[in-house]
Amino acid sequence: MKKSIAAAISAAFVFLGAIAHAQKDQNLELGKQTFTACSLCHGADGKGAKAGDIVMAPNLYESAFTKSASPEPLIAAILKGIQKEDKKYLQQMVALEAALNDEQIAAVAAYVRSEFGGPKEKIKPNDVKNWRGKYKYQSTPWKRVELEQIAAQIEAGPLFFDVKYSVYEGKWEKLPDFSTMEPVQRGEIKDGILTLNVAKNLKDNFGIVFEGNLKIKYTDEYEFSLHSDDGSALIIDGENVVLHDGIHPGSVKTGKEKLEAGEHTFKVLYFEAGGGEELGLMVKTKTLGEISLSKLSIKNSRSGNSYPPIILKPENGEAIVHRAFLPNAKPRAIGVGYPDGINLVWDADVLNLAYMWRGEFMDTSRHWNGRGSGSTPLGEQQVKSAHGLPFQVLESLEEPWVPFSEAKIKYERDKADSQKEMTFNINHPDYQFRGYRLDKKRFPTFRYQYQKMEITDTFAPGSVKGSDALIRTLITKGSAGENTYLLISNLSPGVKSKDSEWIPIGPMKILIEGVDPTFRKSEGKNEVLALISGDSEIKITYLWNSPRI
Amino acid sequence: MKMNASFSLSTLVALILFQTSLPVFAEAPRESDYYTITAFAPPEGHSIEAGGIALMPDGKVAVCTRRGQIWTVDNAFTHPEKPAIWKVFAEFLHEPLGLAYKDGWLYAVQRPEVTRLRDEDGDGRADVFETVCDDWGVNGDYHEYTFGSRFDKDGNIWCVLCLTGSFTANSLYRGWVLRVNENGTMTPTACGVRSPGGIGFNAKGDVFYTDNQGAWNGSSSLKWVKPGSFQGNPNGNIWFEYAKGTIGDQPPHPNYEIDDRIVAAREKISTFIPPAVILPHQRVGNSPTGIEPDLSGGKFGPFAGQTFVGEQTQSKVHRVFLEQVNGIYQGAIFPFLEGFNSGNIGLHLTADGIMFTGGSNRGWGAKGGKDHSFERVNWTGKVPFEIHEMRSRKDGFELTFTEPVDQESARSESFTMEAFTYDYGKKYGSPEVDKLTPKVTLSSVSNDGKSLVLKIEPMTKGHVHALKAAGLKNLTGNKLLHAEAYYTLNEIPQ
Repeated sequence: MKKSIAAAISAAFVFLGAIAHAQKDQNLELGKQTFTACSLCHGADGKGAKAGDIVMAPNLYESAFTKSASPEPLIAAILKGIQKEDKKYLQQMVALEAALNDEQIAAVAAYVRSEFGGPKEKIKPNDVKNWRGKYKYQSTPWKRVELEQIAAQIEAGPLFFDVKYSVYEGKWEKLPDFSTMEPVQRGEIKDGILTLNVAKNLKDNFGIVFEGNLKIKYTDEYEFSLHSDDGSALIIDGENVVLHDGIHPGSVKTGKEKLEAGEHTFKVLYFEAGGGEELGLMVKTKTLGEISLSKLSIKNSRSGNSYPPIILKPENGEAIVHRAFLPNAKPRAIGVGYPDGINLVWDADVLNLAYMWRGEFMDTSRHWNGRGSGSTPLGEQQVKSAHGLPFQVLESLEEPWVPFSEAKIKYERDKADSQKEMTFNINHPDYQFRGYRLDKKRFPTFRYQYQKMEITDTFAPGSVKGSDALIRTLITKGSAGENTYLLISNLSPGVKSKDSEWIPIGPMKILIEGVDPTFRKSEGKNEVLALISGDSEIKITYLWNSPRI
Repeated sequence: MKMNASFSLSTLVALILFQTSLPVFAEAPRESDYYTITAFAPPEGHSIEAGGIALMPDGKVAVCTRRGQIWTVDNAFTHPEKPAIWKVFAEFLHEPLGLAYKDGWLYAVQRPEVTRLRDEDGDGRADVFETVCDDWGVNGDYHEYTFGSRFDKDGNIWCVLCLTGSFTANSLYRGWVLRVNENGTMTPTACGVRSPGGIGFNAKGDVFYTDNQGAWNGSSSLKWVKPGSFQGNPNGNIWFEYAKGTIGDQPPHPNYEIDDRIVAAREKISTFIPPAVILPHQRVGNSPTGIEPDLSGGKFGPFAGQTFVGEQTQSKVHRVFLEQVNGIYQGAIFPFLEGFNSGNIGLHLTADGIMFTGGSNRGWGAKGGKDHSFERVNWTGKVPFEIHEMRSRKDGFELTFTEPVDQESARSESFTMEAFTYDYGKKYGSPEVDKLTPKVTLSSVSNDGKSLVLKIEPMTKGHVHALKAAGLKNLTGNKLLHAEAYYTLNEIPQ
């Protein structure tokens, strides 16, 4: 009896073991299968494939990321790719974040690490998902040094720990001596990331002291950047490293300190008088790169694009018409940079102005490096007045505006019986883009057709009473039938004012000439429309309220 | 002693003469003896990542670049003696990869549309940009390239559209070939495309495109775009719903679960046109691109009527012989010319026998090492000793040569052959599989020595038959300039 139970138990263990083994193998099998695409350059043996006499990609046995304690740097490289900075290898590591799902990335990273000299471990697809989120900001392949910094940051662990805060109330013009005061709140910050949220409901006239320990893994010169509105100070081991005192708008002050490996103490003092309140802290070293130590990130706004900028600048009084994938517009976007720092994106997918902005025009470094993932508009805030299809026949003013033309289809890769539904952009059957003409100053006039109506859409930079303006002329010929409306704005407030022809929209106001505007509230938005009947010429002046920064 | 000294001096002189002249006589012929490559310096501060090349009626050469410029190059045929003059015609287009001229317009195939451009105000720069056709989808993924041909004899530009991320079809007609005429009428023409590198014609005017190794494409290859055909990758076939009436029914699905063979899949999928010429991956190249027929009637050397194919990774140009057997195109690829400066993409061969090519190594590395290039190939007038044609027979191949072979060297032992094929399935690429070593027997040599027949046992349908004629010599004792040929045997002639 005893014997048979023991046999049954051991049989069960064998069985469970077999299941675990099969699962593990399945995972490695997926990794191996996914690696076939990698093997074209890295070689099936991981040592780097050759094209004739040249090596396509690095030997994975020699990669630090194969062996590092955490798989995170390797996965960061798989997600975003690595820039080609020299000619050592023929190919560049490409971003695979779109081509591979979390399971595939986890499996291929586990396969690479176990197969080519690194640790044997299980990598969770959920970790890959989290790292996708963490590195979402990065829009170009990494530079090698950035990946090394990521690895060093992981190795170093969090810098701040045992962080406590005390909140004080009072009205100051300079940092007071908080040590003589009684705090109104006290608490602990578990993740060590500084934030003003600890001052809960206080908006004005308060102060905070953050204090705790600073763990330094690598002896180095540490450059701290302290951003605040209003005054602040960073104190390490009792010494002022950055003093950014007084009442001032959000601005950054930096200070450097050589720190030995080991533990140190720190304090961040902060006070807010009135108006806005902000606190940001970042540290930078050669080994670690930039690390944000506060919830408010004050990293360089260009971080995420690791290519040196290539700025397009309109010159000689001529406009630049730049076709590329651009953010906040559909893929058939056309960027136009006019002289005098007025810019817009006209979207040939929806035959309309997508947005306009002032200042610098365009950084095309992402578009002209690597495989080309689109350009980046620069300058000030973009104003998206009414992105979407411009015309619609409305049977009644209750009918909502349909901005985009989309369709659905059942589609899954390599499946005969697809169940998942995919939504995709499709050209609206009533519209046809006809292209554009450039005048002597290279200003484009866009041309398109809506049903039987021919439309031209032209813009020119200008100014009205010293303020920046964009002047738009829409000319329509022919008719698309009764009740054809043009949508001019869906920005708030977008309502008629009593004493002025100008209609306020977002940070601008607009003047509409040649047609009478119609105002309505539809689906929560205040829309400015215009009924178009017969041939018409519509002039819209977009005027910025504030002066240029 | 004197005598001796003068003797030894003359011996020395003879030795020096002998030694210096020896390499000249003994040196094996090189590609550059027959075809020269002339590089053009790019205009200062600009990147000439040539994606498409067209000849203008005024003799200028137009070049479109991945950065979106269109340049006209004057003196392109005489450079550097009479230096090239570069003028920018248009800028900031969306990665154009096809250029054609017709009736006063330059047609550029951009990612999102076919556009025609013209300079109306006469300042040398285009000012009219007319959208001829934008009847396909783009979603912002860099892989969604659009390559375009020149005009065919019926007035169509053929556009071939890469899959989204090279795996899926997330936008309309991704993975398709479309025809567009100058009025903008678009005809969906073929499906099954993965990741193209170029589209063009053979001498007969039939259309071919190159597809890169990857999913459902075991090796890179040159494919015949027979209207209505399926080219192998099923992921774009969902768009049949939108193509109704212009093309037949959606082909049946391939087997998603196994590593199949194209020969077997063709039995089930009647519209499946197999790759006309497989360009064995790694062996001959990694990334095929532009396609150009030789319509020069001999002005570009002895290969009139054949087709040239660009190669990006290995910075080369291949030569291809095509024939039709049982209505299906097949044929052989021969190495032609290597040593270009960057990764060739655009390719153009004029009726006067001048070839232009250019490209880039951006995103995909290239052996040439330069970031971008525009180059000209001239025939020197000397005929290289090459296999001219490789034609399939019921039980072997007939080879013709550009000059007579030495009858002595025309023996069975001068030839070796490997045969192999590739998996057909959803995984990325394929190793060479089902490998065979067919027996090669010399059957006959023609009296003029310019052709011979090889008996091959076995001849395997669907296999690449890789021939090496290492022992073959011409009458001056030189070996073939390129001894390798790779024939794709889709059909065995009866």
